[in-house]
Amino acid sequence: MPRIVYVHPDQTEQIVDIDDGVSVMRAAIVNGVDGIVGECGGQAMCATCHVFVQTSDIELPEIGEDEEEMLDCTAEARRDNSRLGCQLAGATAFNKIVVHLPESQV
Amino acid sequence: MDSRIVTIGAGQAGLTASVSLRESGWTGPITLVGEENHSPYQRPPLSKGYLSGAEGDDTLTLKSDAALERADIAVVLGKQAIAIDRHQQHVILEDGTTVPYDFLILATGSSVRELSIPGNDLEGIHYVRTVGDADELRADFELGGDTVFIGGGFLNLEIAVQAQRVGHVTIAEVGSQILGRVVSQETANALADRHREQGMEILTGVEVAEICGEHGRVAGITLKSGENFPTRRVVVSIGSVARTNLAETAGLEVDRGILVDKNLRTSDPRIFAIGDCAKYPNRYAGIDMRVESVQNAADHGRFLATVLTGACKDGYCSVPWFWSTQGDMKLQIAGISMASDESRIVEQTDTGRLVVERYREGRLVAVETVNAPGPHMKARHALAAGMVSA
Repeated sequence: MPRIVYVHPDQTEQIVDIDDGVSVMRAAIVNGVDGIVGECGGQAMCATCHVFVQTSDIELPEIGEDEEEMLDCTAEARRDNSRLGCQLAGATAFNKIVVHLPESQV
Repeated sequence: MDSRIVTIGAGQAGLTASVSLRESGWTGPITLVGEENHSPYQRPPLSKGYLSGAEGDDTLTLKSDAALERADIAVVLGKQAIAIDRHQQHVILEDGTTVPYDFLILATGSSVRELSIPGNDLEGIHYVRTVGDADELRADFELGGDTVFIGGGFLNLEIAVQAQRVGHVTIAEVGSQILGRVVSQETANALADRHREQGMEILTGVEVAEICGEHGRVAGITLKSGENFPTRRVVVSIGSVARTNLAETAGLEVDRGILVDKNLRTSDPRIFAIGDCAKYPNRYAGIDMRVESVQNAADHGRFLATVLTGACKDGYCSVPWFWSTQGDMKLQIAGISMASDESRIVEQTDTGRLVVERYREGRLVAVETVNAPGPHMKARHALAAGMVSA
């Protein structure tokens, strides 16, 4: 069962175990992890599921065209390890991932 | 912060308001009442991945039961609210139970506008609003065959892409273009061209006179012109109607929507309305209007939490935005335009990328994009900045 560790700006952690295929964005929304909005439902159209990936146990998928464009529009400035949570799905992008949440998404 | 809040309607707006209130430190009881026997869910996948079967019921969930319990939100499902007693300050549910409130939030949404032509009671006519509706259509698709769509709006075009996997698709739109009320002719044409390339038949300026049946089931449709199209099923999406009954019978001000002020408060200071059902002063459109979108529902919910907790500085002013995924096309609209607004194509490529700006009296009011999420985001920022400086 893939596991996601969300690290809030105040450094508190929330751990969520998920089914295969569930994204970092969906897991946060459904399980009530504050700090991810995910308004478009995971279509790389709203840039409100921005995360900073600290570690992943497998290589993350390449950043797609839409994701690339959206990462330039995030509320908190993009960093080298910026990704959209909706594009990172359990079992394909990671089995265990640690992501830091930005101060704001909108 | 410690008084009782009751929300009627467990969709995107009602759920977001309830959750946001708790996240903002509200300590009083929060109750969410939904008439469907399904935990709060999001509707966009109903016309896309959920309908195709690519996504299951779990992708609809807005909040897990455990998360709702942790947030101490009492969820009452499968019960319709039938009346509001404003003097006693309680809501009466269909089973006779009463739910007392200090503040009441109406998030009753909208319902489909129904066809009123001969044959409208045949089996095989679908309206997609709820998860139950989507289940029925998905089961019908498994029988294969052609589909006629009445109405060329967002919802029907999204569903049409799914219907093409089982048979021929015909769209019958009464207006002169698809998406007539929401996008420019330029954007509508680009979308229609792409759909036609994929084999979709799009008829504009046509009116359906009758749905014809055999043995009680849809067999075809007849246009006013007399032309007949055999079909296995008909999907109808010709607009929606705000669900205002509850508000109206309680004596609140209603005019094709529950009337609210810039803080989403109705004519009763203890009652608010949010989401599809609320008619509010929209700063971007410059008029009182209802907006049906996920963004509007969610932003209303979040905004109302700031009103109730006292954090709100000014009225509601989020930039309206919309999206629609139709096959390989991602349409996004920022702002609200009118048919008479000027259109300027600022980008158009062979690969299907399109950016159209809309102007009214020289001022940018909306930007329509297809497969161009970057310009869409920039447009939202520009529109928001324009509102601040105006």
